[in-house]
Amino acid sequence: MPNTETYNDHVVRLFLLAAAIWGIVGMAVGVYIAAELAWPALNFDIPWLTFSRLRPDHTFGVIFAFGGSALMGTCYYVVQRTGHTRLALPRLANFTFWGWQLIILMAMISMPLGITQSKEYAEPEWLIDLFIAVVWVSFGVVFFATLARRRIRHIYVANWYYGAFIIAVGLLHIVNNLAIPVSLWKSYPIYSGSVDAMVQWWYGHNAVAFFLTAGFLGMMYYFVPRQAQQPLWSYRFSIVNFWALISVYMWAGSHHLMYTALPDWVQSVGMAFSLILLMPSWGSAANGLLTFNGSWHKLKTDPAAKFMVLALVFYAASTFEGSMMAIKTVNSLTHYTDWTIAHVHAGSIGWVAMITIGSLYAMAPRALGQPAMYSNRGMELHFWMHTVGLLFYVIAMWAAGATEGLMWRATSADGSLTYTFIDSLIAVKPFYAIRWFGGVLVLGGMVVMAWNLWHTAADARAHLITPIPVPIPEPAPNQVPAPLPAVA
Amino acid sequence: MNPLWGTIAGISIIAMMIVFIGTWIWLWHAQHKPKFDALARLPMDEEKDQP
Repeated sequence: MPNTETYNDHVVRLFLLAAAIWGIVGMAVGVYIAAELAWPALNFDIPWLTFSRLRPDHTFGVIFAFGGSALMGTCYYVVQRTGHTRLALPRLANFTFWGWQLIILMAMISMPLGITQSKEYAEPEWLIDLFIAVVWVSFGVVFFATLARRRIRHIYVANWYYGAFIIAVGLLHIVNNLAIPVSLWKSYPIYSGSVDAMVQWWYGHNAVAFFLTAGFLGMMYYFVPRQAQQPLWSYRFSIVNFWALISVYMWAGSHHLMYTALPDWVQSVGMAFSLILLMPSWGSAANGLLTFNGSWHKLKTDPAAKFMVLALVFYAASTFEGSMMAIKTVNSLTHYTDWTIAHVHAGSIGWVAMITIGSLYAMAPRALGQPAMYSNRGMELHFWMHTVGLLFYVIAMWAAGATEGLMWRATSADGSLTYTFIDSLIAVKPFYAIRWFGGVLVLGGMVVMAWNLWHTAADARAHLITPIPVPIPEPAPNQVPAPLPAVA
Repeated sequence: MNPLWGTIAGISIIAMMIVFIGTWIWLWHAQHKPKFDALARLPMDEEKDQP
């Protein structure tokens, strides 16, 4: 039978475009609110321009709009390539794209207007939450239906991570957003007091675990070996790390609530599991980095590989930092300070954004029918703008956090506090300006990427792309599921 | 707290350790090596599968 089956990269290209646009939007909002912290008059006394109203737009924009679009696009790309099959349910896949974009617009318009649940990373109100649940379940149906029709018997490890990401995020979203609506735009959570706080941080921490870690590890486990053109350093180790990571992460959320009304033993459980978590985190980072053995020379010429290697370095660094910050005595110094902001941005700009950008640069030419990105120098410029901006950002916030932590706990000989809060605010103000400058560089890099993608997509805009045929392998004996015949 | 919870917690920890060590032994069994070696190379196939 002639091979007429081709990969469905249309929806992949849509998500690629969305990721580029939302990356700029989400980071532009971040740069603006960073400027507001350094120069507060920039809110112009307009309610929807204040830091508190815009901050959820920044977090939602970069995590769910930029990161979510990149995750869904790469997930659809990877599950087809690692299963040697075409994406199942193409109309439903298109629905997940348009539905996700509608959700992003609804959330990012309503939150600055003050329509919010006031739950961090889960701000959108109940009506938007219902849409999110419908689109997320649809995403899962497309992914698992494609897995079910795969022609490679074993499910490649990247898909295990993507699968865990889809299942866990659906579970977290539904449980944390159980609420009683009292009007179209207002609801109250069914939880109260410290139970509400615990559920919120079980969600919040596992949003980091399964959205910002498991999903992006799925990306890493496919695109790093492909870009390095080396086999994964240890496939066995990847399976150990997968089960260890998903078993341990769920129990660490209470480290966000140290020294609160939460029972002390629950805080200790969170601390202990956070320390154990370091092992699978470093396991995956080591597996990714060691995959470059034999291909380190690529770092001289391949900016996508540079992004991936630095992403893995920052993944190892920020997970080590996170485990240390979960220790109660360390937490007493760092919590509520800008050290937390440094930590989360070392993870998000360092690990999440860099593995995403590296993977998008690896995937885009193939999905857009080109042999390579339009401009290698553009990629190189992006890498350096992003890296320098990241360093300005995190070093400024580490310094600000240590300053705040030390000033807040300083006492005079008579036992009174040495410094007032405003003293610490004045001390860290220069760091806020440096942080803003770092953000400008990172945002500038994203604009360079969008320009590069726009030119790489010239043939796609002119509808000149030839779909890529699916390689149909010989089926394994007694293969389950039975391999599909090639279809047009 | 009922002492039974301590017993359940202890048994659970031992069970999890057995599962964890068992997973390592299963993964490093020689019979899986060819399959895992092939899977480790799967992402590289995309280059050679291009038309």
